[in-house]
Formats: sequence, structure tokens, C-alpha cells
Amino acid sequence: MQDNIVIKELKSSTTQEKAFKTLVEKYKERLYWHIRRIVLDHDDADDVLQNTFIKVYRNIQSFNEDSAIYTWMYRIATNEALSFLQKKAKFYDATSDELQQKMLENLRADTYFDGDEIQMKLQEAIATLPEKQRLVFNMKYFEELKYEDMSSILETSVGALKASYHHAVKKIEMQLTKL
Amino acid sequence: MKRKVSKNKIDFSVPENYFSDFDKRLESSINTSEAIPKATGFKVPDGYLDNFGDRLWNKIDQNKSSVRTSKIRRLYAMSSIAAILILGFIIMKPKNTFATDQSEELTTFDINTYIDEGFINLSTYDIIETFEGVSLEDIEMADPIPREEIIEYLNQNNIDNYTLTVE
Repeated sequence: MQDNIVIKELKSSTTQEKAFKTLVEKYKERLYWHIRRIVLDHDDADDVLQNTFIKVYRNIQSFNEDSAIYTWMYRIATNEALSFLQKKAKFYDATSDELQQKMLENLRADTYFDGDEIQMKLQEAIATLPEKQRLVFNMKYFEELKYEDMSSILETSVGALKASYHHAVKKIEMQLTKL
Repeated sequence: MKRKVSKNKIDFSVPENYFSDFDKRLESSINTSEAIPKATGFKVPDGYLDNFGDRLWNKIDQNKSSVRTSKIRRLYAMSSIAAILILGFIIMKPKNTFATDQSEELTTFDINTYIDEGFINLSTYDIIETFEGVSLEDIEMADPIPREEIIEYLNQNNIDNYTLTVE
């Protein structure tokens, strides 16, 4: 089913439930991986993904179709994941950098991470990037999103995104080749 | 006579969508660094994504009933406050402002009888609101309910609805 039809059905109370389930089926996996790369832990990603879809469900009436529903959901997922990390940092009374280090320590012991040494180093390198660069790198390198879509999700110009991505790749390459 | 062969019509073929996807594949190759692995090592539990839709829908249903409970509780709380205010107003009102035909003051005994006969029907929510933060030991009961009766009541009744945490 095409997204514009799904949106129409989502806004009607009689077809809302079915259309929402279609939307979840279509985007759950992509959004899961997007969130997982930000929060790293599977259980945290599951919580954030559920909250993302609940927000989509509650706010679908206010979605004004200025952007694609896909980028709108990505924006919600990104904001949910980032605010989840902020709450977590507050809980541990830690700075953003300290939290990233804590997340890496947890990742080493995580049942749902079986990365080798280079993959662990990659996560360590990503964790050293500023937040925006980290998002841009993940979205471009792993999710292969278009710059135009990323621009709509992150509300940043395409030029700035390209520059961020370039810097992020260089920094990560430098860290990984230091091995 | 020489046959003219068009350069475009030689007998080679390309995979379907080769040219339409070319840009995308080219961009992907440019964006892929040899030094940076594409695999991340993240895993998900077996069947996680297959069950996700059902779990999500359950949570949405729970939230809906939780919102309903919250609205009902608010309604109960508002009614209780209104009842307490009216009762307070009646009890605390100075004597000289009572209606002229009310010749006698209400005695404590009258009020107790009124409550005992069940004219004031406090709901569980009213009781929770009224005694919130009050230690049970500080509540003086004229006719205490035996411990066995309380345990039997709790065993027979589902008290989960009263212990829900509402957003």
C-alpha cells in the first residue's frame, strides 16, 4: 500500500487500526536499526521504537503531509532516541561523553552484540564524534539515506550534512587505521 | 556491400534496472570506506521483529485503558473534593447563618449515625485520596476489621486496578 493511501486511512477512525498495522510492518525494521545505532542496547531500542510508534499513532491527525511520512517518523524516532539518552545521562548524573563510554562498556557485555575487535573499535570511534556527526554518519554510511531525506529529518541543509559526513568518515578512518 | 551496424545494437545485454540503479550503486561505492566495516555486530533476539506489532498494539490498548482510568479517577477526585467542600461548608458554617428553622445544632452522634447508616458512600478512590500519605497505624477505627477478613477480601478481589500507575 502506498504511503499517501495509508495516511488517508490512518486519519479515518474506521480504517485507522489496519492502516497503522501496515505502517508498523513497513517501517519497524528500518526504524529499529536507526534507533539501535543511536542507543546501542537492544532493550533500550525496543522501548524507544515502541514509544516512537505510539507517538506516531497519537499524532497522526496533526501530520500535515509537508514531508513524507517516512521522514516524519524518522524525525520522531531520532528525537525519541536522543531524549532517551538525555534522560539516561541525567539518571546516571553523567555528561553526554561519559554516557557514551558507559554505553560502550555495556556493549562489550551485551548478549545481542557479537562484533569482532574491528567492529568494537568502530563503535568506539563513532562514540567520539559529536552528536550531529554521529547521526549523519550512521544515517549515510549504514542506512544509506539520501541527503535530501536526511535534510528533512535533521532539519539541516544538504551542504552541511555532506560536510558533517565527510568529517565523520575522516575521523573514523583515522581512528581505525591507528590500530 | 558492407552492412552498417549500429554501435548500440550489438548483442550484449545488461541486467534489469542496471542503468536506473547505477547512480545509487555508484554513490554507495563512493560512500563506502575500505577502512570502515559495514557490519556492526548488532543482533536482535529471535522473532523479535515478528512479534513487535502485537506487543506494540497491546501497549497501545493498555495506554488507552490507562487514560480512561485516569479520567475516571480525576472525575472521582473532583466529585470527592466537591463533596468534602459541601460537607465542610455545612459543618463549619457559623451557627447564626443556619436556616432559621434549624433550631438544634447537629451533634457528633447525629453525624456518626448519618455516616453509619450509609448515607455517605465513599468509593475506594475517595478513601485513597483522603488517606494518601497517612500511616494506617494513625487511623483510629472504632470497629476494626479483623486481619483475616482483610486477607480474605484481598484474595477474593482484584486490587490491581487500584494500584495502576497513571501517566
